[in-house]
Parts: sequence; C-alpha cells; structure tokens
Amino acid sequence: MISKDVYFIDGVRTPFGRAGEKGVYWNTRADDLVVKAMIGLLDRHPDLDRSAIDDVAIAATTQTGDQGLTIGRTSAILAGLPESVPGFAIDRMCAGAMTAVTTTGSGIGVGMYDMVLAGGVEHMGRHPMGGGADPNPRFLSEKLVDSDALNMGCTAEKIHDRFPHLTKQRADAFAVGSQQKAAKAYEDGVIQKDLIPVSAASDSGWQVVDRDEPMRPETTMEGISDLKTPFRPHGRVTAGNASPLTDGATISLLAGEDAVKKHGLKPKMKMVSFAFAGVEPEIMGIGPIPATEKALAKAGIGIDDIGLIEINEAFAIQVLSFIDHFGLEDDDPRINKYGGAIAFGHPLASSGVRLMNQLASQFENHPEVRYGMTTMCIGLGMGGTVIWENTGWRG
Amino acid sequence: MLEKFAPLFVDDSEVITHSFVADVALKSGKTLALITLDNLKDHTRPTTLGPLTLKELDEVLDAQEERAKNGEIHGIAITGKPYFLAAGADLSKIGAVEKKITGRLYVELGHYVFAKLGDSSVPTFVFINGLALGGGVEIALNAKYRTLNSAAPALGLPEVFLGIIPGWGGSYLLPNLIGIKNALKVIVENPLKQNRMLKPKEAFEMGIADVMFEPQRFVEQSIDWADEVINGKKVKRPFEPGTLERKTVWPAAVKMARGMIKDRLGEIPESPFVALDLIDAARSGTRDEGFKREDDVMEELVSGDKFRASMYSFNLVQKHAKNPQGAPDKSLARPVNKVGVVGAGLMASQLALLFLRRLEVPVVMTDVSQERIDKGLGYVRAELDKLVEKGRLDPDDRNRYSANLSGSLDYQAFSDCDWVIEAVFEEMSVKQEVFGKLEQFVPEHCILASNTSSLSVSEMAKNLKNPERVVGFHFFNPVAVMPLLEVARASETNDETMATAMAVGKKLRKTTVIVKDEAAFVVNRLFGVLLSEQMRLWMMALASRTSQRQLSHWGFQWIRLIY
Repeated sequence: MISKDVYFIDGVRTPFGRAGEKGVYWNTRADDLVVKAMIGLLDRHPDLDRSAIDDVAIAATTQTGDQGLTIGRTSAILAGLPESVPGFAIDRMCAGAMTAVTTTGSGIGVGMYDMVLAGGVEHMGRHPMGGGADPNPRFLSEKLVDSDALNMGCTAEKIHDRFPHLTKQRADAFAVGSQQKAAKAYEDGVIQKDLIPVSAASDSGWQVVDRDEPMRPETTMEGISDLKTPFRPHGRVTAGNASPLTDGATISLLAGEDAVKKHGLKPKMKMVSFAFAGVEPEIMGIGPIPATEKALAKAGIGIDDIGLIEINEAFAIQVLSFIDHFGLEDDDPRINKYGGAIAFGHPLASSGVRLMNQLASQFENHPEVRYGMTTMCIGLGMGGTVIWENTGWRG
Repeated sequence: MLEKFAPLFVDDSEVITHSFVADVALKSGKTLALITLDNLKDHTRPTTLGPLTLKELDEVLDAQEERAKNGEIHGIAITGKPYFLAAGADLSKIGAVEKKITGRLYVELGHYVFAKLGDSSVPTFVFINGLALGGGVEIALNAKYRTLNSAAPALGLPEVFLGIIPGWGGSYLLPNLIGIKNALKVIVENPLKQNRMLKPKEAFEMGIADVMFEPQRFVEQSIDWADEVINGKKVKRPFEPGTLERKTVWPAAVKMARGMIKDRLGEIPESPFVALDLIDAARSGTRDEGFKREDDVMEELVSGDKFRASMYSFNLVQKHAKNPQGAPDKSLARPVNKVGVVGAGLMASQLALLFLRRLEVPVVMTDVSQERIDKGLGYVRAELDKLVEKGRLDPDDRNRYSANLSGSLDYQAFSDCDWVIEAVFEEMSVKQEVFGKLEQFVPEHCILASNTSSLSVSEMAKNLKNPERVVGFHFFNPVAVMPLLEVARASETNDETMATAMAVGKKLRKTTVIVKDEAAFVVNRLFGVLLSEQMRLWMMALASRTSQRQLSHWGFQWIRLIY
C-alpha cells in the first residue's frame, strides 16, 4: 500500500454574502463564485504548472442550475484550466468542501493524485436549503427520522432539550463572542488576506465585495436576547445565535509530499487523520463529537493535544454540546479564535475550507501549536473532523 | 452643465444609460470611484450614449472631481454593465437630427463631458469590459488609462462606415495614442472593409489598451492594476508617435491612404476623406483644437444626405434583415435533413459545400456524367481540406462533412431529400426538364429550389404536379463570401415553402430577402441598369475612357472588370 503525506498548501475564499435578493451576490452565479476563488488561488501561485493538477473537486449541496452539471468540471473549464484537468462534484451537505478535501486528500495519500483543487460553493439565495428535494416518504411513514430532522433549526432546539444546562443565555453569549472575535480578526487583517475580492453586478452597477457581508460586530447580549425563535414557540434558537443564510465559495490547493518537492510548494498544514460519523438525524448538531473521537483515535492523540479548534458554528448550541462533551470552557481561547460561522455566515457546502483557511492562518501565528482540527456538524445526523499538523510547528 | 446644451434634453424617449458610482477600497488603502454604465435592460440591449445619458455622466463626473479635490477618492474608473461598455452614440437620436445646430450640439456635448476624463486631477481609467463601438471606444480614449477584457466581443469605430467620423475625440486621440498606421486601420480601413471590427487581442496589440485581462476576474484585476497606476506605476505606450513619425511617416501614410481610397471608392463618399483630413491635422496642435475640428465637420456630416442614406441602409441591413418583410410564420418551416444538388459545376459545388457546412446534413450531387460528378465532389473535398489547412475547420468536422457528401447519376438518390436545389445551365427547357424528372423521385414534401439568376421561377414550375413547392433561391458568386440571398416567390409558391426557404437561408447565414419573381430579380436588374447606362454613354459617342472615369468617380470601379 502506497502511503504519502498529504499537505494543505493554500486556501482562499470569496467574501461571503447574505443570501437573498438584497444580498451582494443576488446577481452573481454560484459557478462564477467558484471560478473567481479558483483563479484567485492560482494567482497566488503564478509559477505552478496548471496541467499538473490531477483533479478538481467542488462541493455543492443543491446540485442543480448554476450549481449543477458537475460543477468541479464546469468551473475548471470556466476558470481556464487546461482541458486535461478533470473535475467532479461532491455532496455531503454542510461538509461538502470538507469531504472534497478528505476525498482528494485520500487520493493523494494512496499516491494516485499529486496535486488537487478542493472546495465548495453554496448560493443559498439562488438555492434555498432543501430546494427541489424529494425525501422518501418512508422516512416519516416508517418513522426512520422525526419530521424535525429535516429542519436544521429544529435539530438545534433538540440539543437544548437534551442538555438543559446548555442554556439560551450560554448560546447567546457564545454568539456575541463569535461576532466580537470576527470583528477583532478583521481589525488585525487576518481574515482579509485569504479573501479574493469579487466584483458583483447589481442594479446599481458593479460592487466590489471585499468583506463578509453577514457580520454584525455591533451584536450585544441585550440586542439578541429578545429575537424571535422561529423554530418553536418559546424556543431558544434565534437568528442571533445561529449562522445566517449565506452565499459564498471556497477553494484549497492540496498536494502530496512528492509534488511539494517537485513544485517547490510551501505547505501550511499536514493532514493527520479524518473521520466522519453518524448520529440521530433529529439532533445532527452533536455530530462533531463522535467524528472527533474517531479522528483522534486514528491519530493516536487526545483532545488535550489539540492546540487550536475550528468548529463550524451552524448554531451556537451545537458548538456548546461539543465544548461540554470534551470538558472545555465556553470561552476556551483555542476555539474559533477568529470567530465563526455565526459572524461570517455558513454557505453550506463551502464552509469546510473556510475552517481550514482560518486554522492555517492561526497555525502561522502559533508555531508553538502542533495539532489543530477542523470539525463540523452535517445535516441528516453526521459530523466530520479533520486533524491537522502545523508545518510551522517549532516544538 | 452649460446652458447651451438644454435643447438636447427635451426628448424623453431616450433609453438612458445610468452612471452608478461605487467606492472601491484599494489594496493600497486609497479609494477608487467606480462608475458603471448601465441602462438596466437585459443583455440584449446594449448601452448607448444619448444626450440625457451624457448629462447624467457629466453630473457624476463633476461630483467625483469635487471628491477628488477633497482627497476622498484617488482615481475614477468607468466600466459597463456585463458584456457591454457602450455601443456608441444613440443612433436613433443622431439619425433624427434635422437641424444642423442640434447635431453639432450633441457632438459638442460628448466632447464637453468626455474631456473631463482627460482633465481630471486624478488618474482616470476605462475598464473596457465588453462591446465598445464608436462613442464607447471614444469614452475609453478620453480616459488617461485603459484596461481591456480579452473576451470583449468587439471594438471598433464604425463611423466612417456610416458616413460620419469618430466625433467624440477618436479622430484626434487615437492616432496620438497608437500611431498613424494603426489609427488609419481602425478609423478608415476597417470600416470600409464591410465595417470590420477589432478583436480584443488585436486592439491590445495596437496599443488601444494599456493592459488586457481575462474575463473571469476582469473588473477585480483592472482595479488592482488601477491601484498600481495611482501609486506611481509607469505605463508604457510603445506606439505613441514621436517627432520623427509626426514629421515623416504621418503625412506620407495619410497621403497613401487617400490615394488608395480614391482608387477604390471614387470621390463621392465624403466621410473617409474627412476622416483623413482630421487624422492628418491631429499630428499637431492641442486636443481641444482637435475636438473643435471634429465639431465643425460633424455639423455638416450629420445633417447631410449621405449620412441619412447610410443610416437608412444600415437599418435596412442590420435591423430589417433580422425580420425580413413578407416572410410567412417561421413555425411553418419544414425540417431539412437531406439536400440534393442538381449539377456539379462550379456554382453547384459551391452550393454543396455551403449546405454541408451550414446545415450539417447529407448532401447528394448529380450531373450528366460520372466524370462531372467526380469533379464536383473532388472540388468540395479539396475546399474542405483547404479550410482545415488554414485552421478554419476542425478536422473532425471535415471528416463529418466529407462523409455526408455523395454523388449519384441515379435520381433515386434524391428519394429521401427534403430540399433539392438545381444549378444547371440557364435555359428554361433544361430547368423544366430537371424539375419534371425530380418530381418523379423526391418525396411529396421536398422543396425544389432554383439558383437561377434571371429566369422565371413560375415558368419553371408551371407543368409540375406540385408547383407550390418551387422557389427561387439565388446566390451570388463567390457563394461562401457574398452575404446576399434572393428568395423569389413564384406564382404558386405556398407559405410552407417560403418559410422553409427563409429558414434555410438563415441557417446558411445569408442576408435573405424576398423578391418578386420578375426577370433578373433585384440585384441583377439594378446591375443591368448600370450597365446600360454605361452603354448609353458610350453610344452617345463619349469616349469610353470618359465614361469609365465618370463611373469610377462614383465608386463603380468594379464595373470595368466585365469588359
């Protein structure tokens, strides 16, 4: 069995936009977002031989319209990659881009790929969640899943039910923290350096998008305490402690150890292990817990060895369940140091690579940290975790 | 805005192209005001630059200049809505100019507004993101810097083609930017070659733009480039004419161009010569003197008969050709999945080649001997090979077309044709015989077309069982090049046949016009009048050389070829 080291060389993304008619990307196609991110990434590596890219994996949850037609291939052609570079589409809902990375990373690991592009896109304005889906009636008639399982907000409420000590107050506080950390990260310029500005056509001319539109740095505990609870009366999940509906694309360049040498690449992270795991669909938000247990076991390390954690904030409560399980503090400085999806937004299938970008950026500033991880919950009851090693680690 | 322009703003029928402003934060920390020209119509409606459009742009530019002076912005850029920068002046407005003075005002207004791009206190840019014609190119020329999208469909200054001249600075600015030879090509030579346009690569290589970017991130990359320029990047202009070029090459090139055009077109068309005068004068003096010269000549040109006639023919060819008059409902057209060609001579072979390439269906040729058929087939295959050699045809397509081509002495080969066209000897009895024989073999729905140039189509059809399926389908030689196709409706021709003929003409990418089934149709009839006029002059004992001179003065140089 061939076994090669797998490296995360670089990753970028478009700034994220608010989904819907008023959002900055309402008139911009999903595939164009991928293409712009892809070219932006390749422009950072001008000497890289484009034809040495073995595959392009792009994730999207709703694979129709401008997210259909095998978007990994369409976007490669549209970006002007050589015709010899193939591409494919991937779907694991929220963990699409993460799965693009683990799948192509596996290909590198067994020596079948040297270099790949992996990323994801979700234009939730053009493709509302679950749009065009046709769930098998057996799900409900045979009670395979609860009717709540298909509504992500309801699955988040269920975490509150199961863990009553994880209160709305704690969720709100975590959410406010996320906004503040994101604002601070912007001030420090650590987010912008991995953003590819996008020119977006609008009804009032071209707009240049160079910041994440969903951010609300002014958020306070008081400000979000009385927001509506759209998923159940007197519930706990609100727009304030959940990630907003978002448009955006991400992309990363991965390479194996041979390609790193051959092309003179400077890797940011090395893939250590990954795992996906399933949980009850009705409470999908706890998915990162078993996925992380599995990934840690494969890596042969414990949670205490993890110096930095990028966990996707689909909902604050879902992050709290993870924190609670591993006995961490709500404001543990290792967790989402630069803020998370509550502030930046969560364009489903693209978020995985955003986590990796932010982890890589933190690694750079923390040479004392050896291991970090990216983890996220996934619809229909799943979680995914990738453990990474800091290539700049000076232990 | 100057009071004098007020008379231009009374017409409220203009589709206004708005000037939207967005501030762009540059990487350097500075700010660029990005103006987007957008008429808020979809991608089928190019943006144009009517008087009210210019008024709005003027106000926006003034506001930006004010901000620039306050240090709020450090550069101004203009670009267009997706796919278009601007398709030039609003021709519907300029065509309507009755009064000399309003025409002049419109030209002056463009100068007045665009000059602000050249005079701004900060660097100004035009990001040529898409189609740029006439005034669209000139707005870019007036800015201090230009970027170009490598996927823009076309750039061009079609004014001379339309009987006017580039009148918003193009005649002065272009030669001073890209040198005399390139400028002559863009302003005079290309418009006279059937209004040829520039592809972005060509325009960039001539120096019309300072830098070219690929389409995917064109606006973003243009902004980054503008940032570098604002921060002191030096931009090279390799074709900008020097003193030597101005003194020697420039006047010589203009003189040579003048001689060539006179030879080709005679002296009646005005605009090429006016353009040459302006270009010649552009080698010295100031920009504003150049603009003034443009104002002066445009005042005369836009109110003249020649421009009006040009606009009429332009509208006829560009607009009406898309919806030919007298054409029946398109839905009546029948599919054409196999074509027969009777005859294998030069004309017939050219027809076979065109049908093969444009309809992409099997084509079968026949003639009186296998030898003649083989010669025809050989011609078509050789032409396909030539196209491949020139890189104008994909080898796979050559193989496909070649396989689609066959020849047969037996009319049985036409039994599954949907369309048969004859190009046999121009003799009524021969044509009647061919159609009579065809009728025994072809299916009932098959259209019978004649490429006759002068015989009566009705006469050809009269003895047939189904005369309603016969139509005149007259090409011009060389078939691949000449754009016109006359479709003659005979007395019995039905709507299905006409609709099919129009659909086939369109697929063949010809400008298809419906003509009456009268002797020689339209084109050859006009040609005949010209010819007989020359004969008349000759008969009147004028020296033949005089009559030739007379004609060449009008630009009918080609008529000499037939002697």
